[in-house]
Amino acid sequence: MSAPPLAAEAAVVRLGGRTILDGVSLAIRPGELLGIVGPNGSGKTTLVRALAGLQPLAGGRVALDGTGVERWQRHKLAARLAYLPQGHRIEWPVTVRRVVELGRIPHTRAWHRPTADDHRAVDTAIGRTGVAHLAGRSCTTLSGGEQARVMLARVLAVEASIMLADEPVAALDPRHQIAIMEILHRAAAAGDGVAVVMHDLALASRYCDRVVVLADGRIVADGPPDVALTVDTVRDAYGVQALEFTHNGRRFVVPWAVDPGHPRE
Amino acid sequence: MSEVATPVPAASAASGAGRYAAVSAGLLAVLCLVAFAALFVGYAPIAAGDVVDGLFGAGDPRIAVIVQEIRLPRILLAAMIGAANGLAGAALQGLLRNPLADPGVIGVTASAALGAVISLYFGISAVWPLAQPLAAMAGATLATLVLYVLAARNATTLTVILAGVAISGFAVALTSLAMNLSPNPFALAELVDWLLGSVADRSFADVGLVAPFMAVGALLLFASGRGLDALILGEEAARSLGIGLRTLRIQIIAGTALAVAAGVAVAGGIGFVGLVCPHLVRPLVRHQPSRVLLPSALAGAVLLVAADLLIRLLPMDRDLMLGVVTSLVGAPFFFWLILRTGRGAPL
Repeated sequence: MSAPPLAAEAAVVRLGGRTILDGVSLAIRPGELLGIVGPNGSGKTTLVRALAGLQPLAGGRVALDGTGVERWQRHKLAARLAYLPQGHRIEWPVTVRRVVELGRIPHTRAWHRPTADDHRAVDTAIGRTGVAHLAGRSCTTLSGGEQARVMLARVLAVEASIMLADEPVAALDPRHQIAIMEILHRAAAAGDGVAVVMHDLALASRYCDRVVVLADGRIVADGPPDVALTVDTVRDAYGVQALEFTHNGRRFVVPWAVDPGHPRE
Repeated sequence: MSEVATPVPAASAASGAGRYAAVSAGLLAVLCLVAFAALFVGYAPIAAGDVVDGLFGAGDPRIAVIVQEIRLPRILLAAMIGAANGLAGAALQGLLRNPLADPGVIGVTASAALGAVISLYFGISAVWPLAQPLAAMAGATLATLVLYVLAARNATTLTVILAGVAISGFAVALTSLAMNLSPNPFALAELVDWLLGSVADRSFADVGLVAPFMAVGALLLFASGRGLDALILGEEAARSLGIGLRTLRIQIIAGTALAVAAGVAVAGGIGFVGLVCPHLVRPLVRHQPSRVLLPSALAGAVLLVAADLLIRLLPMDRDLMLGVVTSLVGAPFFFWLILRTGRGAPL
């Protein structure tokens, strides 16, 4: 197997005297939808930010094509690696299409007009997320589900081979959650390396090719969903008793009750 | 000024650029019109035909002097200062993502005034004319740097605005102290007169003094457009799109200090133009920060030239000062903005 394009090796992050990531090694592989799960405060967001080159490390390294992300030229890294931060912040009531066009910033040089390639990428991203009918709308008038899809379109418009999304389905209804996961799944199936931070374990089992479970800044389980997400790993990581179900040969877990024997709050 | 959510066909990218060009061209035309009209208004009653002759140096040489050396620099300076403030306001509002940001509100204008007052007070500017704009710029840079440190610490925008108010208050206090300790009443009167803000009786020497600083400042601010657009998505996403936030902040702070402080140095405190103009043009260009810059600068120029023209038309014994007029209009607008923002209305 060829070397994965983006990989963290024993990455350590300390913030304010606390160790947030404690030697995490993780590779993002092309064609794979990777789910990153774990309790609040386990370091998921910090891990994704470190992978995106936005978080300085106290130890270890994150490398893209063998070169440390901090040594990449900013716009070149941005063209290879698209990042969707948590929460859908849009600061001005600009149009949906304009927001999606922002994804082309790494590809356009300053003072230059967008090229035909940029327009095509924007159209494709809008088509893939099904927001064409919203293109002229102001972003501040959208519903949560519509906004999530627009933000995803912005990330797709980068046409990076690696996509990192931090809780893209948070606060969405089941239908929108499924729609977003379908889009990410298709991107991975088309050859992109996609990593998604999420909380819904059943959804992770349903869509992810691989899941890592993070707890206290360490990876405690890593593998296909039915290996990484079991009653045991869920109890150890979250302190929660889970139920296990099987549907169409896929096993998935549903958190059910707080585990009384577990010290975690 | 609220955004109307009309469905527009997907091919709006081109029409967005067209809209931007149309708005800019329209404002430029209005600016030319107002500036040209302003040439015809002044204390010396001169016939319209003579004004045109005078502008090109033909006809009565006394009229040529009035038009070329009194009216023209005054109009130019008003346009330049208005444009600098409109541009700086648009860039600051984009950077801080706060519709209440403006060189005056965040204390840049008052700090620049303090710098200029210090150079006046100690007589440095009498010996070396460049000292006044340089001191003004030093004051403005200091104020913006304090704000930058706060903003970089992830302070809320409210904190930044409040810090600006504090900086402004402190600068005004030190300026007052200088006036308090002023040894002679004539110097005091001169200081007060200058602080009120005016472009009357300025010369081409003044225009030449500030033009280079403003040009460099404007260049820095215009170059920030892409970064401001990326900031629509917040700072993390902007960074992930390859925007160097530290560079962007320094660029806008330096640009604001250069463009605004130079104007303050020769014309005193003329406030609120930078606050108002971005709001006037933003809905016209569909709120895109990079496309607010140029129209806001043009609107600032139009506003200040028109306000200065209005002053000359008002039948008053003593001329109103330009800075007084912009504050009289701008302060209520500021108040209205706060009320509207507080109600959660779209920006």
